[in-house]
Amino acid sequence: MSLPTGDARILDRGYRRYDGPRAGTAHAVRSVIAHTLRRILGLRRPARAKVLPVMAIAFAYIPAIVFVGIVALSGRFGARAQADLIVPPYGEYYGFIISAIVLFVTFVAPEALCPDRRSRSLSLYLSSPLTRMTYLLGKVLAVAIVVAFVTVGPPLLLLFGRMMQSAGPDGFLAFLAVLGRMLASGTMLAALYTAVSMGVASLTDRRAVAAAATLLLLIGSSIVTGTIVYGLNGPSWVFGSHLTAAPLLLVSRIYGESSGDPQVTTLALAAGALFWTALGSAVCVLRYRSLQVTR
Amino acid sequence: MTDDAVIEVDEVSKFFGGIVALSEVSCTVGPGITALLGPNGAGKSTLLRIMCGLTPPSRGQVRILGRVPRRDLDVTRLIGLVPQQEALFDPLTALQFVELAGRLQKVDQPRPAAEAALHLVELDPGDGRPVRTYSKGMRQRVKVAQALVHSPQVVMLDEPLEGLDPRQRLRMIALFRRLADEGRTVLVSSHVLDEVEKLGSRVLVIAEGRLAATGDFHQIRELMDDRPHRLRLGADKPRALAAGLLDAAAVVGAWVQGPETVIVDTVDVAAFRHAVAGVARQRDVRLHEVVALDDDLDSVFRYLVGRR
Repeated sequence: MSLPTGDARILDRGYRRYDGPRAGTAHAVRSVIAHTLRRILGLRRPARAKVLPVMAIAFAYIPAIVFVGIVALSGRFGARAQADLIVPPYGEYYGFIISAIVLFVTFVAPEALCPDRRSRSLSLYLSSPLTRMTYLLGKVLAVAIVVAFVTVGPPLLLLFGRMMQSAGPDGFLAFLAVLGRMLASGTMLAALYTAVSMGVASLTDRRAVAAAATLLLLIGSSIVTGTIVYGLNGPSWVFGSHLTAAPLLLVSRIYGESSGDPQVTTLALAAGALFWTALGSAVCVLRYRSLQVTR
Repeated sequence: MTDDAVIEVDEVSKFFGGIVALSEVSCTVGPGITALLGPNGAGKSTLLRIMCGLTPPSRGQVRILGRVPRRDLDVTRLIGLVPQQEALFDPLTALQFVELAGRLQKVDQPRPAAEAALHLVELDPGDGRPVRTYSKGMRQRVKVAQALVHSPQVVMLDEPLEGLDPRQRLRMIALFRRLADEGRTVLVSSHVLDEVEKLGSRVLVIAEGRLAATGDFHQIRELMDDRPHRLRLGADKPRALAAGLLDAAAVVGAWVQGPETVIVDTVDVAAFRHAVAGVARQRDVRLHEVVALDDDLDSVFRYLVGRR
């Protein structure tokens, strides 16, 4: 609004060319991240859009909260030894929440990627300082952040909850070791599932199809690898490409815990995780490079 | 809100389903003539109807003399409305129609009041023809007469000049000015800018349901600081004058047009006025004309509504 001359005022000058500072690509990427996070988590959207994210986050965090409660109560009643039998080691925690993680990844990436293509608003993004790759970078970071929220957050809650009950690692170095393993395993899971789900979501502009396809891939990989390794006595390294069990087994190995089939080497597990992460990323990048953007 | 505000519009919005007819309009109107301007469909008639209490605002409030017309029916007797629609009872004579309006407004002596109102708009009260036989201009004047029959303090006229010939327009404008001189509040909605300019200089400009500007349109022109003022200068040596004004940085552009004319653009009229005489003297130029080319209502209106 202009300063008044007498009592005259101009309140609305209509469309005006923007002459202010331009924040550039980094700001545009941050905006894509913020907008995608809001969309995924259902913020500023109707209640029904919040149901799935809230459910998945609750499923991921409730076991950690329960375990911390058990540790606290056992400390009060002098039953810490019994509690240690119930509360799983950090490396095995993911076994309790893998369904929540799967649920989360099946809807997060489709929600982040599909609507922009379906509503043809991708051209609007690309008319800003964003390129296809910086747009994708924003989307990947947003999806990775929310997936990491369920892969890194709950074990951290468990760690700090146990520490507050004096049931955590002994000494600072031991704490750092556990923390490092937690961040490494949580980040590995987040990267893997982000890449896989985004790779699938990049192939269709329908959210439901993308979610179903992601779920099918996760289940299908377990059926195929299980059949090859155990049904047909195939090479054990194939198990590394199991999309749910192999990452959990790799997490156990990161924690130095001896669980699962000892014949499946850590190298095979790491290679499998790397393979899927690279494949999902490559599919996503190639798809967006070749995508025809029309108004 | 100003102290002498007769009409106060406070954050008024009006929605018709998904259509926003008015959006957060706030303004005040005091005694005298104010022109309500805007292109077709801008929301002028809707605002007038809300001001009269004929339709409720979806949000916000309108007060006439501090009272809400929608709730306080007595305040509607202080308002005279000339609607845009052809709202006449065709079988009645002009006198019968205006007298009926007087009765509805509870005027003590409706017949003499109706006769006086018809005289005001230069119609013959003794004309026995029904209004359906009247020309558009005459029907328009009957509508004005029925709005004035109860001598309202606030007169709202929605496109009152429509259908009138130039002579009738001038007379109608003179009538509105007379009403304003009597201390009434006269709000005239129109898009005939040439005629509105003759009404006075105070305007409310509405565009796409939003209040775009309010106040004296000359002052609004001063506020249009992103648009240079264009002036025509008559001089015997236009090139020398243009060069001198550019040298003195008094103008941002100059075009020589013809042997004795130069057009200049300036962003600061006051500084230009200060500089032009000195430059003319310095360059030995005889300056015989300085005319503002875009200081009129049409220019202000185009600026406010033309970018949408």
